[in-house]
Formats: sequence, C-alpha cells, structure tokens
Amino acid sequence: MKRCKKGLLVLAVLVFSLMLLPTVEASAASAPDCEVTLDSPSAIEGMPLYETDVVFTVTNKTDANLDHLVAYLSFVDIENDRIYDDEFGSAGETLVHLPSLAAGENTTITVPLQIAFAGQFRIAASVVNLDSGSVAVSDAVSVTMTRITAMHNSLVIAVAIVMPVICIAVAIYLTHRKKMSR
Amino acid sequence: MNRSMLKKELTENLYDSKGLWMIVAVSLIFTTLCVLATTIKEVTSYSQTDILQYALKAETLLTLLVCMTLGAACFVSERENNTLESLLLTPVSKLSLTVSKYLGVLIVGVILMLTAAPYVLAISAGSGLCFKALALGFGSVGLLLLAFTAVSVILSVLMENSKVSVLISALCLAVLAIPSIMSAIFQNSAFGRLILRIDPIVCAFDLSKEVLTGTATAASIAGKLLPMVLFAVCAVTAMLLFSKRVSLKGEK
Amino acid sequence: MIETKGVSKTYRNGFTAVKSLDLHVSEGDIFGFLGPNGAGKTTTIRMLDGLLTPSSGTIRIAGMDVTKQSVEIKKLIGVVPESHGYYYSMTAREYLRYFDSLFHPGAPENKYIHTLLERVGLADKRDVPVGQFSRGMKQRLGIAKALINHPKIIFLDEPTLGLDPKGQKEIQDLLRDLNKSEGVTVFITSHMLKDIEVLCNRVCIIKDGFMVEQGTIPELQKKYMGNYTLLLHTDDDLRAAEALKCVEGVRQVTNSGDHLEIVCAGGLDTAGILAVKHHVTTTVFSAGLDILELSHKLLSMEDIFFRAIERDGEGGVTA
Repeated sequence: MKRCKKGLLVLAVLVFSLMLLPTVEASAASAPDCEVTLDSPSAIEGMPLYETDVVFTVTNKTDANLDHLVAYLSFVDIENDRIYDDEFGSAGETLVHLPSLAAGENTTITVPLQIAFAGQFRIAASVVNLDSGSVAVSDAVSVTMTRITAMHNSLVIAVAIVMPVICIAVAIYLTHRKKMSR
Repeated sequence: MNRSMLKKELTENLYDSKGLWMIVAVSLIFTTLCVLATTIKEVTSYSQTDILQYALKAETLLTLLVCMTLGAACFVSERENNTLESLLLTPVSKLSLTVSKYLGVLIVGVILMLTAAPYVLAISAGSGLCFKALALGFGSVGLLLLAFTAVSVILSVLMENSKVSVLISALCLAVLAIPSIMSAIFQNSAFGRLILRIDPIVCAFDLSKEVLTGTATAASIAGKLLPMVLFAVCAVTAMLLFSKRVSLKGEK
Repeated sequence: MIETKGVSKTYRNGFTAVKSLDLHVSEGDIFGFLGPNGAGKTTTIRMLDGLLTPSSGTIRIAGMDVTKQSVEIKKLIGVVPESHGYYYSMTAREYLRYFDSLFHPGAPENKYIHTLLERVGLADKRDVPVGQFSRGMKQRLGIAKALINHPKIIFLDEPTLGLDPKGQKEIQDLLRDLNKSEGVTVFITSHMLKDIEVLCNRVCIIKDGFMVEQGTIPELQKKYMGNYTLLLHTDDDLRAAEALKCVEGVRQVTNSGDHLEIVCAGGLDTAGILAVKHHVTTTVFSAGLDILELSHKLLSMEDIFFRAIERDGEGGVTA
C-alpha cells in the first residue's frame, strides 16, 4: 500500500512537471515574426525644440496574417543613463495600433516628434505582437541635440538695472528742459 | 507732410500724453521680467531660446499697447479739446494731418523698440541669436506696429469719445492676441487652424519661434510674413482712405 | 467779398439749420450776423469758412467757390470760432509759430508773430503757457492766430462772449483798427447787440435758418423807425409840451420824464423834417423857453432786432 502511494506521488509529480513544460517553453522568447526598419531620419542633429517625423516600416515575415500588432518608440538618454517615455512630444508616447498584416505585407508608420532636451539620445522603433508576444526592434537612430547656451544672468541683470535708470534720467532731463526753455 | 506738425505731434505724444513715462514704465516692466527670469528657480530652467521668445512677445504686446493707446486718442482728443477746428481751418489737408499723427505715434513705437533692444541683446548674448532676435524685434514687431497704429488712428477718426476709442483699440489687440495664447484650443478645429494661419500676431510669434530654433525655411518665413504684410498694407491703406472722414464733433 | 446764393444746410438727422440764405458782404465791411439761439449762425459761419459743405446753393468768397477752392480760400481767411480750443502746454509764441508753420511750411520764424502779440496786447505773455491765460487773453490769442496769415476776411463767432466790459472794448477796438488800417473785412456773429451796433456797418438777422433782414444799420433804423421822432429837453418841459401840441407836422408829444419825445407826422421827407424842426424850435423860443438838448431818436440794434424777429414770425427773405 505504502509503495503504491509513493508510486502515485512520483507519477503525479512527473505529470505535473510535464504540464509545466509548455508553460516554461512558452516563457522562453519566441523569434520575432515581423521586421522593423527605421526609414528616416538616418540621424538627427539640431537644437531643442526640434521637430521631426520618425518613419519606419513593419514587414510580416511569417506565412500567416498578423493581427494585433502594436508599435511604439523607445528613447534612451546616453548622457543621463535613463529612458524617456514622455518628453518627446505626445505622439512619441502613444502606441500605434497597426492594421492586420498579410504574409509578406508591410506597412509604414510616421510618428511626429518634438525633442525638447539637449543631449545624446538613441531612438528605436519596436513592434509587439500581442497574440504571440514576440517583439521586433529596429536599429536605433542617433540623436544629437546641441546644448543651447545659457543666459548670461549677470549681463541681463546689469542691463535690467541700467536701462530704467537711463530712461528715467532721460525723461526727467527732457521734461525739465521743456520747462526751462520757456 | 508738415515737419512742424510732426514735431508737434511727437511732442504732444511724449509730454502731454505721457508717452515719455510710458516708455519708462515699459522699461521697468522689462526689468521686472528680466529679474524674474534670472532669479526664479523654475524660470531659470527654461532655455535661453525660450526666454528670448518670451522677451520678444513682451516687446510686441507692450509696444502695440502703448502705441494703440496713443493712436486711439490722437484725433478724439483734438475733437474733445476743440482744437481740431483750428487745424481744419488751415490749408493743411486732412490726409497730411492724419499722416502726421500716425508718424508721431510710430516714432514713439520705434523708441519703444529701441528701449527693448538692449534687453533682447542681453538675453540673447552668447547664443548666436543676437542678430536674428534684433531682426525679429524690429522687423515683425515693426510690421505689427505699422498695422495696429493705423487701426487705432482709424478708430480715433471715427469715434467721438476718447474712452470708447481707446477701449475698442485695446479690444482689437486682445481679440487678435487671444489665438496666440489659446493656440492649443484653436488647433482642434479647421476654422481655428485657419485663424492661426492668418492671425498676424500668431504669425509673428510663430515666426520668432521658428527663426530662433533654427527650424525656419524660406517657405515658412514667407508664409508667416505674408499675413503680417497684408494686414499692415490693408490697415495703412484704410487709414489713408478714412482720413477724408476727419470731422468736428457732432457734425454728423 | 462774400456772396451766398440759396445756401441751405440739412444735417443727416433731417434737421435743416439754414434755409436758402442769400448774403452779400462787400470788401471792407464790418458785417454783423445776428440771430436768436439755434438760428443757424454757427452753421452759416462753418459753411462760409469751408468746414461744412452746404446741402444746396453756392458760396463764393473773393470770387472763389468754397466747395471747390477751399485750400485757396483758407489762405485768405482767418477764423475765431466760438468754441475755440488751445494747446495749453504751448506758450503764446509757440502757438502762433505752430500755426504760422502750417500756413508757411518750411519758413523761418516769422517776425510778424511778435508784432501780432504786441497788437493784441500779449507781448509780455509770449512765453507763458496758454493754460495760464485768462479767457480774455485766450480770445486775443485766438484773434492773433486768425491774423497770422494776413487774411482779407476774418470770421468771428461770438468773440466777446464771456468777456468783461474792458475785454469787450479791447476786442472791439482791435477789430475796428484792423478794418480801418488794413481794410480787413470782418464777419462777426454775436448776441451782444451793443457790439454789433458799435462795430458793424451792415447787419443780417436770421431766425430759424431764414434770413429775416439785411442792410446797413441806418437803413434798418429808418425801416423800423416809423415816424421821425425828435428828442427835446428844455428848461420847462411841461410848458414846452403844451406849446408844441399844436405845431404843424407834430403828431404826438410825450413827456418821458427827462425829455420830450415829439413824434412827427408820417411820410415826411428831409425838407418836411427840417420844417418841423424849425417850427418846434420857433415855438419853444416863442414860449420863452431855452432849448437844453435837441436830437432825433435812433432805434438801437436791440430795437431793430426784436422788431425784425417779431415782424416775420415764420421767417422769410427780405431784400
């Protein structure tokens, strides 16, 4: 009896392990079923506030239709070791739901960006298949936003003090001269 | 156009209408804005380009406000003080009279732009944008000045009360300035977008943004300048035509 | 010098201020333009000086049409409007210099300005701001400004309004002097009938936009006088009155207290009037009385004005 119970226990554990297998398998990363190519721009250089459109093409590499594809842009700030999700314009943070792609078909997406910060960035386009969970990522485009020079605070303060003094002095002088000219 | 008339109008605008002290007040306002820009922590995080844009916007609105106030009172005050009759009894034409008053206000506007120039130069120092900022400060502000001063002189010719004339001038400025403040709302409709494309003040502000951020192209500059130039041409032409309607109080 | 034919002015609200006005003012006249309030005097003057366009009719000044040659006419006329504003921050000299520059653009400062200021009695106030002037001084400055371009005609709308008697006399003397020494034609509107009587040689009376009367003062006096009236003051007016009742040519003798009013018979010519005067003096002397004063009664401008206004209640043109 005890031997039967032990045997049953071992069998249950084996069956349970076998059942987990597909889940584990499913947890492992699946190969991307589409390809993402960043068409333009090839590089971005400028000064904030910089506006541009990021254009990328998503191609279905499988033999079947791909529905429920979602595209988005990822931003990496090299200098500050961080990612951004909300500082490249409202369109940059929005998911783009792609239409159903037939086998071998491709679609082009344009996302308008407004780059408000200075620094070194990389921008990549990604597509997630919500059904299969596969993710395809394009090559990253390099973004260099030249740092705008800072205001010379001391000069501004100096002008801010001197100008009204000059204006008041001139006003008083002219008013006095008009009275004295009589 | 009579030089004495122009000199008299300028003297009147500077001394009697307190134009001189308005210039001092504008200078003090600029000083306050500069002090705020350099001392308040949240403002210091703005880029130099942003602050420069705000400075140009302040220069635009203050210059237009002062000049529209002076222009709106130019004929009405003569009518109210009973001095217009004496002027109309001289061989000087109504057109010449109108042009003298217009230029008298414009000169005050130029003085205001010159007063703002050192501030703009100080803010833009080191950014390589000094020339562009000055060009915007005199160019697009100058175009708006030509137009809005003409509008205020027209109102001065038509109105019989100086308070009404000044109020309507200020309202005209406010109506055209509102789309620039609430552009996000206007963007939501086709009509709103049309307003944003033709409103001269919006065009002036957009032009300065594009030029200062280096995103301006010849086409975009032309697109922004065209409404301002058209507005100025129409306003000045209308003012010259309305000069015939200069008349005494109660004549209608 | 000034000629109007059938001039009317109807404002946009339908109100007709002047109706079919025919005026004639000769060169060298001091012409008085009278009328009650709202008669159309200011409207008329504004049409004459080119500020208002007449609704109908023609106005010619020095032979030029006011509507077509207004610029040339403005060089010939000077105007002192009723409600005259001034640039209070300017001094008298600056004020005249400014208006001189409008008539003579580009010319250097006119020395005539100093002469004008002396003439109107403001030489010592030339550097005082106009805002500090009294009403009379402002009025004199207004006249000086009207003379800056050496006008041939000067229009004055109520020039002595609000002035004290001294000020009124100064203005009257100034205008008389202008007319005599420089031959300036003066066109003056006023409520002060005394001013008109003292200054003007010809007058026009309007009422409700219509011209009621026009002519020289003696003509109008004669027209409205009625019968010739003598004024007599003797050393005993009571006895004189009794004696004169039966004199040939005398219709009525009235004792007004300080003199006798002797109304002659109507229709007397000059010879007849002389004859009556002779009879009166003879009768007084025959009664053993002395003649202290003998003159004839003249109608005042006030009398003429009120008689003319009352005579033609609805207004009308009288030659």
